[in-house]
Amino acid sequence: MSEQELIQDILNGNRERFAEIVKEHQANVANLCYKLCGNKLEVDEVTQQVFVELYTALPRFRNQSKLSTFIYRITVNVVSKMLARQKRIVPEDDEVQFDVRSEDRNAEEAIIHNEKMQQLQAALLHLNEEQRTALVLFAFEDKSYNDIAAEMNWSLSKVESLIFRAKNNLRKMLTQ
Amino acid sequence: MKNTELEQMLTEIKDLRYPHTIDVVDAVMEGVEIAEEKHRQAVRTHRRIGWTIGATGSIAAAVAVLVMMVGNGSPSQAKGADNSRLSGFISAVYSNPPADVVYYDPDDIDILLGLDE
Repeated sequence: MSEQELIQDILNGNRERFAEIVKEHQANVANLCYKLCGNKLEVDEVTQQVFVELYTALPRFRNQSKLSTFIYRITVNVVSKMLARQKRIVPEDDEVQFDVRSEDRNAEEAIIHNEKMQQLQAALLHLNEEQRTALVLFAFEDKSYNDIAAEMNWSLSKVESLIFRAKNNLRKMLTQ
Repeated sequence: MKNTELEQMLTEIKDLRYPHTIDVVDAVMEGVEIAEEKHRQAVRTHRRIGWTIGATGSIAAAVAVLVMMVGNGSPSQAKGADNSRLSGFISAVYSNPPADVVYYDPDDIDILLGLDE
């Protein structure tokens, strides 16, 4: 059964089939959530919320883009909203430790690098939705400009412009 | 910040993987059921509000018609007496919540039907 047929089946009342979508995409959603916010949120909780929101948004899903792209956009928005509400302070030991190439960095450099990475994660969520979506699809999901243009129903020049501006804005935010 | 530095940082984020097994299927299906139930309740509440507004509006319109009917054609003294009974009836209608079945006093029925002129 194709993706469109599965979605139509769910919209026709066969709610139990939604579990198939969850099983197929939950790992990707969890990975994306982890990339965007590390341990600052409970990844399981965010993943659940993404799929519940996906279910209510299914009637609005247009088959111009892939379901995975639609799910990524919901994930980014849910992470952004939950981080804005979250007051949880992550103990230092629980923070994501980014790649520490000990042969290249001493302890102090490693700490600085870790902080920069966390700033980058925060800056990503401050981009506007279109820039963020384009950059996440390009940088994290290995999609080409053409893939992104096709899935989002954007022109190729729009995709190029969004990614260019997203990177510029990230550099500005990180150097402030 | 150089382009290459940003690219390296983005690649580092891209290589992150959630280090635990995730299985949220059961929790999601429960959440979906709750979301559907909330939606059904919202629809029921919306319909109830609509019915109440509709019923109140209908009663108000009927009363307005009666007031206009009684105001036309009765002798002034009889009209005065009828109007005071009618206003008592109107007050009773407004002060009582709408009911499925309304019991009218036989005299009030005569007023409603214009049979006491």
